[in-house]
Amino acid sequence: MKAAALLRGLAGPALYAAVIVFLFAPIIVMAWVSLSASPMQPVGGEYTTRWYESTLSQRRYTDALLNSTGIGLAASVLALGLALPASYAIARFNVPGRSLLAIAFILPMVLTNLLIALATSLFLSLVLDLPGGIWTSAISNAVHAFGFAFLILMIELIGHNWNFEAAARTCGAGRLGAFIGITVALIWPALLGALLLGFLVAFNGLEITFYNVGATPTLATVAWGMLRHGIKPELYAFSTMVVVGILAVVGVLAVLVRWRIIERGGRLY
Amino acid sequence: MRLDLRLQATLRRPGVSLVAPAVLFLMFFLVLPLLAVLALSFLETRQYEIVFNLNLGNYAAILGSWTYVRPLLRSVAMASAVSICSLFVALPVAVWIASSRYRLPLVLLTAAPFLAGEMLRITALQLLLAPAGIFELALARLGFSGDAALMYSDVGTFVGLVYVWLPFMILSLYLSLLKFDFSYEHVAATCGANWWRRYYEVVLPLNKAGLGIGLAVVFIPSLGSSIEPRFLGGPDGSLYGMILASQRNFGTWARGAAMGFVLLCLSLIALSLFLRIAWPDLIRWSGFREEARRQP
Repeated sequence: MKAAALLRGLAGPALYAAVIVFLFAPIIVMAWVSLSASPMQPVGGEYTTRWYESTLSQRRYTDALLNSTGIGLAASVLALGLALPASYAIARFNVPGRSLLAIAFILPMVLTNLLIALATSLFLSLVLDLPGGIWTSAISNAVHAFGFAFLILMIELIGHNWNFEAAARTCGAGRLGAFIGITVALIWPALLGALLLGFLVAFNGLEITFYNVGATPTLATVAWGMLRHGIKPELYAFSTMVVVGILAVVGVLAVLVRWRIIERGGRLY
Repeated sequence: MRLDLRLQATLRRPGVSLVAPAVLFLMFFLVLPLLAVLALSFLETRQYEIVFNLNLGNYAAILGSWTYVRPLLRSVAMASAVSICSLFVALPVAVWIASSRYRLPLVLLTAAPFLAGEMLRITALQLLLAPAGIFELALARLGFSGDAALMYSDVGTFVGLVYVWLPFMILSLYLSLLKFDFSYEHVAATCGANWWRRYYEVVLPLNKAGLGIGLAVVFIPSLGSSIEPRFLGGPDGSLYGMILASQRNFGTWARGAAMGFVLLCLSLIALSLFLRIAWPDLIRWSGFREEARRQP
């Protein structure tokens, strides 16, 4: 009986650990192979940073990184700028048809990337006759990122206590002043999260970028092109740098936000 | 006249002007493009040129030939298998995370790989699963000889899709479980329910929001997946998304548009089914209906 209870207590952590191993093993193996001097036979071989040096010295990779960063920044700022007023209005006011609006706003997140890519590229290139490039891919990625930004803000704003803002209005603050001084100050970790998630979705976006970007190199299109050509240690070095960079930034931000919230809450109340 | 007044009154309700930019943006860059796809699907493309010749030929070709119907059915089967497998793995994991003291770092750790992006993760997975790759070497060292046949088969696509979308399922179940009263599960356990009954007959039916949303965010992207079958799948048959993506290379945009519209319809049907599961819980949490009743 005791053994059965112990086993039951261990089943949860064991399954969790298995999932974490499943999710991280390929990334760790990739990092390991990217450091190996002989990527075809990585077991027991020597280690080198050669692949990293040659990756960083190639314009194709550095340009791709810069272009994707630009697309990510533009798309996430646009998505947040649209999602913040929309989520605020839907959470706070009884906007006509707001349940349906909420679903329509989350739809771009659920919709297959390929479909958004197909639709926006057809529309922008064939109907509006715009040449493909950074800007068309930024706008198309913003459609996708908008869904993520809206969902994050909605989760934060549903159940938000609007009395703080009402109190500020009573004390003489304007509508915008109360919104920025009170609500934005209270929900800024969610704003940061929405911006970050929007950025990463657009930064990593493959199909939407691929269809709209034309010949400009971006992160995902370079990876796509390389992956078709067998084992390329430089691709692994490049991917490892980006993945480790993303995970490090997110980890540091998570820790920082957690500390700052506690600090901030202490000052506010 | 009265309709006009009512429309004006509606537009003047608080919040409408704040929602308007997002509505206009999505109208212009999502709804209009999708309508363009619909319009193009009734035309033809010949030698990389669009020919204005209204007909249903593309749909007849897609729905009337096994070349398209078989991949479509295979995609539906693949997406169903991926969703069900993700659900069964994710539920016990999400329950454990939600009832743990360190649930925030634990759930962030499962969600983190999603942030690394689909393409780079598929790159990593391809390296791991490749023939004579690390996974096979490890198996060989453990004494399993021969090829594991993980890559370049339907199994490869399946593993890739679960790998990419499992974090989404865990996350939506976790968000739903945050509002769940775990004493129901304890009661079931005290009354002698085994793990299957506790998870899938007690916890799951009481977390329909997480169930519906989780199924939607795994099933719908899997249905249109093109990268995973492209790089991990085999020659024994391709999926719908892959064929759709290839239409662009052939310059057959009209056929691609019709395929895209079929995919859109299937996605919306699936979404409405899954939302029906989640709807009552979502309305209850958001408090939208109560408020609507209070201020008519």
